[in-house]
Amino acid sequence: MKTFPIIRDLVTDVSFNFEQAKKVPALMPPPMPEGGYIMFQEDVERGQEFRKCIECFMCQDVCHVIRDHEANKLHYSGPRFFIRYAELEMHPLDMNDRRDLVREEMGLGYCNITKCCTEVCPEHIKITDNAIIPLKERVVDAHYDPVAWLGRKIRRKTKTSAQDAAVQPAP
Amino acid sequence: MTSSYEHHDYDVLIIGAGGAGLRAAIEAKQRGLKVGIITKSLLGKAHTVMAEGGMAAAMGNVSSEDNWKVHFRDTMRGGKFLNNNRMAELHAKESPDRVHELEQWGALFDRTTEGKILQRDFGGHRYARLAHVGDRTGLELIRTLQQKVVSMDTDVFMECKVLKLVHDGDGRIAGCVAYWRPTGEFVTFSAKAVILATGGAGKSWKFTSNSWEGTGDGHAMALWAGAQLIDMECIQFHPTGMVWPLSVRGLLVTEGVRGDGGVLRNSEGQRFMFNYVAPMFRDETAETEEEGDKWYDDHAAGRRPPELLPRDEVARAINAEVKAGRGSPHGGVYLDIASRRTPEFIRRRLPSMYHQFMELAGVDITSESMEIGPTCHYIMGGVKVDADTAATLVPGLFAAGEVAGGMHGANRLGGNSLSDLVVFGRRAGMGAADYIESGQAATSMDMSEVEAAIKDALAPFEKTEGENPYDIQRDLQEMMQLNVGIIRTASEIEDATNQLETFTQRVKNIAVKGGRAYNPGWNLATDLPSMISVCKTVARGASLRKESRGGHTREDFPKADPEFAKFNFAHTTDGGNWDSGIVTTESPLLPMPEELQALLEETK
Repeated sequence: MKTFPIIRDLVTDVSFNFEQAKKVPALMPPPMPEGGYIMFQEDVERGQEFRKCIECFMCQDVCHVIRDHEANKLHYSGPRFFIRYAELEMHPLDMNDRRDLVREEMGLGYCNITKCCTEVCPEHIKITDNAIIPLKERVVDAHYDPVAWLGRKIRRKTKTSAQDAAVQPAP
Repeated sequence: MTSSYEHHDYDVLIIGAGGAGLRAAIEAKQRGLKVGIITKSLLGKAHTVMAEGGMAAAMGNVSSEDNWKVHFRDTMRGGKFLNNNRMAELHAKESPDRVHELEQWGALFDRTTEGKILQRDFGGHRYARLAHVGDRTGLELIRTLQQKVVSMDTDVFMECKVLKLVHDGDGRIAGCVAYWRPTGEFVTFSAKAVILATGGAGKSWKFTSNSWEGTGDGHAMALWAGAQLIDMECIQFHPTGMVWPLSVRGLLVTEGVRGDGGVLRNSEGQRFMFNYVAPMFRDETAETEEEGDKWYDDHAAGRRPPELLPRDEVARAINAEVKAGRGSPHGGVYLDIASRRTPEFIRRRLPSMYHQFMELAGVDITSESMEIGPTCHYIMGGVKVDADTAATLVPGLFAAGEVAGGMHGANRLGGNSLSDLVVFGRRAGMGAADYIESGQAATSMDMSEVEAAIKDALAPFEKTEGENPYDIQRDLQEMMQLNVGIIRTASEIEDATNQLETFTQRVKNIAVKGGRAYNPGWNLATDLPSMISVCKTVARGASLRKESRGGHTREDFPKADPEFAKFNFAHTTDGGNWDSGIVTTESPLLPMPEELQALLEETK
């Protein structure tokens, strides 16, 4: 109730979340082979946990980053969308790269792992442990690992940049 | 346009943001059209998420014998041959492509050990056919479509309630008039084509799995606009819904509980289903508890326990026990798995059900019985459409999903609903685009229709004394459950028909206080005309269909009559308003091509 403006009684304006949803670069799979994609249960399971989300937005509401600091809403997408980014990044078929995007524009670094989101999740999704921390690790690996940094300097990146990814439509 | 209302203009306007509406939007958008979606609720909250079991598609990943022909046959048999056979054919042929398409858009279905999409068995389907994600397949479908629609930058109008469709001067659909729930301000939308994807109408029954949105708005608006409604008497009651607490009354309890060993007991603790095995099922059903119990571990060691009879059989038995005074305190019976399986087993096999009862009812199903009863689940009837284009009889109006009729005939098979949404959602998008490209679409709205609809909507504010809309809704639900519920009989249907006239007068006498911003009483007052119209067509169909078939059971005509398998009852109004009279005709079934006929006869 504190994060989202009250319209009347217990009705709040949650449009922030729908605006954030628009910024997520879609899944970019390779062309489908004859007979469908092959993926294995243990690979899809990681993403399936996050797809249990019923979008009640309680995690967004309790997140200190936007609950206590209105201004952060401009550059912070919140736990609900971190699990969405994590799901896409862990998707066995995805060829998009959103690592720079979540670091530079979605404010992943602002999360200081208080786990309030995980605590309130009615679907018992381990938001912090299974999504945010692995996502932070990926971003850090990509951005601050000196070997990876050197690699990037030497050869061209093979993956699409965050900016390109953001405007690419799904097939 | 010279109106003082907020106004938006689209090529294709879609009313309803469930599976069918979103799939239609994607299709129309891909054709380069300007698309708007209106939803009474929020994006992603549609009733599609209630679907648990899966999405039927003859991909043959688990049973290689499966193909569209078997799926077509299963659908027609399940529908007791009242189906539109062309719809059943298209559905069976196209659903595998729609499943694969969802996967390209991000859906994560459960997998086989070879990494293909896993398919599960379900009632009425000859082979394992349901692509699924645990027991939350509907949620997966809506999220996938929602995220696709958002990525295509489609306009979505949320918390916007459509009051009525608006024609041009020549009887073509030209748009609609609506209001914003947050402010109560009116808004008009003009469009070259309108697609109805509003879902079901179950909110008019006391025990229902439908949430507040399911008031039959699309059914009613199509009826008022001049389209036909067919098969409205065919309503599916799911045997096991929660009956307590009130806030979750009607919420589904999956068939899986019984599949995994759960049994039904009355207030005397008796496992009563053994007393309700109809002659046609006796050969395949266990006679004793011992025999039934052996079946769970080894299907060859005994016959199926009677708890696993088809949905309508189980629903009728529960109904009879309650009527005989052997029900639970809240008007249901007991579903007991606690005394039959270990807590570990229950938690592992039925995680969602454990979670649902623990969180919502404070009942631990590993140690206590669940209180359950039949719940209104799905309406097979709906707007009569052309199978290939989803076009209704009114130019410019299309319908897809639960609001459309014909696909499921008299009874829907589990799993055929999610595939219905995407197969015919896509076709509605195509049909609307073709219609627009043909250059015959309306170009202007008849503003007198807009003004009339707004005047009707505001009437409750003009009275200082009058009926409370919640009282009317509660009484209507009680009345329909009692008189046009699972088991029907001539005298009760007649009583319902008469009472619906009284309800019509009561709705006209509604008084609402307060402002228009988020006024739930007023919001309900604007839903009630839809509910009344739908109930009238249901009662009419139930009265005329003097037989029992699928989702329509008559106590006074317990057998199916082949004469009634030749047509659908089709309803229109004589004035285009919610209080107009209902006119009913017999609409002959679509003739079945020989090659499809041959498929049905193969296994007879």
